[in-house]
Amino acid sequence: MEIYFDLVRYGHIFSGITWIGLLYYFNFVQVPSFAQMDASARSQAVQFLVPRALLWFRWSALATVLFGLAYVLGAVSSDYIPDYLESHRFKSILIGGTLGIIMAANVWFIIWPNQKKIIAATSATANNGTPAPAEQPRWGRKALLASRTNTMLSFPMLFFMAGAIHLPSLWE
Amino acid sequence: MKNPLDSVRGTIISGLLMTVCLVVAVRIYVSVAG
Repeated sequence: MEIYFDLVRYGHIFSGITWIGLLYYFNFVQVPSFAQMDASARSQAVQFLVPRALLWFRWSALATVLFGLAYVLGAVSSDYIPDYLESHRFKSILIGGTLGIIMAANVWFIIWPNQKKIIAATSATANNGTPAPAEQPRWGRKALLASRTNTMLSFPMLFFMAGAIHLPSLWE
Repeated sequence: MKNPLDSVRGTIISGLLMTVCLVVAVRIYVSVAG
């Protein structure tokens, strides 16, 4: 049973670092850089860089949540951690995990659908000369606010996730 | 009023404030629930 928890914990941490690393890249690096780039450079980036970054971003978000749920379900249904549901560890994970699930829902239901439309519209403009749709700025605004919300939520999420093991005094 | 999420700095400050608020909420919960 120990190997199950080791592998699931490793998968959770690996995919979580990939996800949040890309989230910080989008917010701290890409968005400010795009504002300074000229239209043709931005168009190239949206067509060839952004789809690849978003591919890793959305699937690592899903993997993080699934590995996390697999860990909690395993802990609940075994004696690996005695009285897990009553433990301080679980209370911290409950707060961090709830924030993480909200963030993953933002990725899959707001950020990705809007970014997908932006990528398609940008490709159509670059390849066929199709004018940019009037709604495109609105898609960008929605995706940006959801992404910024996730960045904001990531601070308490990471605090409570790490605090589950490293800050037991929070609950004493 | 400007949306704090429009800037990177506002986003970081909002995240840190949210963390502090949740920690205070947990400490209040611990002191009440024992």
